[in-house]
Amino acid sequence: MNYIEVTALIIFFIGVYGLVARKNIMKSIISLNIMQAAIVLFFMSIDFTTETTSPINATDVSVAANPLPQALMITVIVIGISVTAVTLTMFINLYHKYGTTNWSKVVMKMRDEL
Amino acid sequence: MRRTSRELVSETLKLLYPVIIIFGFYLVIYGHQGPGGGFQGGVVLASSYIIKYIADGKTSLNLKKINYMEKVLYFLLVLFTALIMINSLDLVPVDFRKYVIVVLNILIGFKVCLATLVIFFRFVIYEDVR
Amino acid sequence: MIALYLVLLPILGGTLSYLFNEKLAKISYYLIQCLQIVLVIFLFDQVRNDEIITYVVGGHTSNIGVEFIVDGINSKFVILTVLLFTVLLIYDFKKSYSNKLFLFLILILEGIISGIFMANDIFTLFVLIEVSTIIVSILIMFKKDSRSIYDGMLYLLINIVGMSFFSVGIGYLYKIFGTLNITLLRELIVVNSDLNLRLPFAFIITGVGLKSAIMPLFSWLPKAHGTPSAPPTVSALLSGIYIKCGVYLFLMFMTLFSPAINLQLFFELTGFLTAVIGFVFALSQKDIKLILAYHTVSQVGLIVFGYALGTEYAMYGSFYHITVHALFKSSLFLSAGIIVDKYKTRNITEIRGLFKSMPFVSVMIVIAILSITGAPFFSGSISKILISKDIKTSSQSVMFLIINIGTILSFVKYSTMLFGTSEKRFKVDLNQLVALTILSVLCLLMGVLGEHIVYQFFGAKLHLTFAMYLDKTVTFVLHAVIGVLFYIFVYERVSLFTKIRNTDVSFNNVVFFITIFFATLLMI
Repeated sequence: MNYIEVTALIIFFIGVYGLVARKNIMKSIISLNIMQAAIVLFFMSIDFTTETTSPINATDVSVAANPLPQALMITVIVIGISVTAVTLTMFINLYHKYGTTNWSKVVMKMRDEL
Repeated sequence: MRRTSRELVSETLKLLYPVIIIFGFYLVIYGHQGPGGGFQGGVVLASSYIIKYIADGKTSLNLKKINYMEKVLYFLLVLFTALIMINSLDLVPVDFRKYVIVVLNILIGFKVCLATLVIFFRFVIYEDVR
Repeated sequence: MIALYLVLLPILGGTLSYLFNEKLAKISYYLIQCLQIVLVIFLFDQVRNDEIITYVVGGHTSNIGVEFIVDGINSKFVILTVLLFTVLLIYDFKKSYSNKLFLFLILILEGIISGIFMANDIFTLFVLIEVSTIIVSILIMFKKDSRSIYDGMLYLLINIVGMSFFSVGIGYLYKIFGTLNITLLRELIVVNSDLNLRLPFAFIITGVGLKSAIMPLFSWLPKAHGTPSAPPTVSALLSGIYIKCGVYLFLMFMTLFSPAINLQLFFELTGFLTAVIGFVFALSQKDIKLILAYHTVSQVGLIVFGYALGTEYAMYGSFYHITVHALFKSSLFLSAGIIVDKYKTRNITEIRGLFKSMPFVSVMIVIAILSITGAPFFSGSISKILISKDIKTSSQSVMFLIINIGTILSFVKYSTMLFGTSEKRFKVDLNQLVALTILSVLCLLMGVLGEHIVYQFFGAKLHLTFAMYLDKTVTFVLHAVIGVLFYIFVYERVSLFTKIRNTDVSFNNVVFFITIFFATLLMI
């Protein structure tokens, strides 16, 4: 299923573009989430056909889907959520201290403080 | 006496809380046979409290106790995994082996529910104090 | 089985102890650390006769299970981890910030770092690295100063971006080979060495290279390791053992892909450039911790350069340098913590006269500086002798010479703190002195007994004759004289250093450099 793989890579690099080109801190956090969604899509496209069933308590083993990428991806999603939670906490702290959501304005204010 | 729109929303949502909680439990318990699982069900369970906060504007949860219980659940979870799953299910009699994953899902569901509540309400209380 | 207990005991025990009250929790944490030392001694006992122990969790087959492997090289790093954590816990015994949350996070970090060294399948590695990134970024921000939130956030975001690249690479490897186990992958890559592995290679090396702070990807390191609000324990931990995880993984993945893609010259140049940029930046800073942090970048460059040379002795030299650098860099960071504590300033031009005010600590600093610059009889010289033993081409020897002189230059500036006058006499706590003494004694031992240790660890014979010692001493003194002359005459006139001190790389530029590095790897 090559087109799913190409789509996942395109979404991944859209996320990277968002990190490079936008100076708003919230947009950086959202771009990180976009990159992680692309990773999940990429893993799910391994051995994908439309006739597979759930692998746990399966009666017929030959049409069961490959459970290994599914298990790995649940871990990746959970890690993504905890990273988003920690980053958002830090962002709220930063916003209350400096009053701005722009990377370069935060750096300028930090330099003025010194 | 006029009722404000906030009370309207709050009274209407009271119909929904049982449905959300039952749906959350369904996702946790039947997670191995369909979409769902411990993590997803836990987040749905937590969302009922979050919706109550958004509708009402105040909360009566005691964050210290929830934090403590979450750590206790985490310890039980890692202990359960370490004892049973790592020794390749030797300690479990053969008839009960298919329920191991259900127990695991329930533990994970409760832990995730408590953890999400702690994260969300720490944001909220921080904003309220300022 | 012991490998799993080494990872699981701190995590389980740490969580259980967090539920107690404050005093009981502290006692419990120290008990768990002692148990860890016992476990590590058992582990070393089992691997001592060159055996390799593998253990798959849950008894599955090794191509789908979580596997741990302990062989000759891993076990030394795990012992180093437990040793360093014990020393740091001794240092931290009476400090005010070491409450139960801090110790909880540090114990979990110990378990995870042991797991990273022992992991044999790539997905375990990915999960452990991500969790340790989050824990380290919380530890960096522990005192909640003004600068620390920005530093911690930058560290977390940049590392997670690197790990996202790494996980796309894992996806490609799984798609091509069907397994994620490192031993199986090694055999499969050797068999199929004509496949086009360019894309997973670029993704994985970008991810791991960012973790180990090589040439264009190191700008997160000075902010994270030298930040004002991190306790000195955390900085010593990061520069001592956590960056070594990154370097170890980088070298492992380089070796994994080397039957199919061989980029030895590229990695030599990368290591050399990293080392040069490291000490040039270290020369331009005025803050003690930032000098030490940039110097870590330089030493990582030396380790990568040594490994990429390709000879057998150079490989042993870089592993030896990993161990020895952990010891003396932690010693330097801990003593810098004591200095900042007593003098209340971090500016190197304001601190003078350490020999008179803290004589014992300054002796430790002198031992560490002599080790790091490669003086004979100290530990740095053994690893440098090993790396330079079989150098073939003259351009490689010139590069090695430049790295050596640069290291000495940056430490001449650091040692100006020791001289001068000072009226105050400071009293240092006993536990801190004990911690520093343990590290310095180990530095000395690994230098003086270098030949025996190299034979024990690697089984390679290294003969150091008296003529070689004399030759090394003369070379070292010559380099030191050049360094002092440079510092006195040239340093103040060059304005390049002041310009470098004031540059700052923003977040968008860092991600841009990551993308450029990735594109370069695709096209070479």
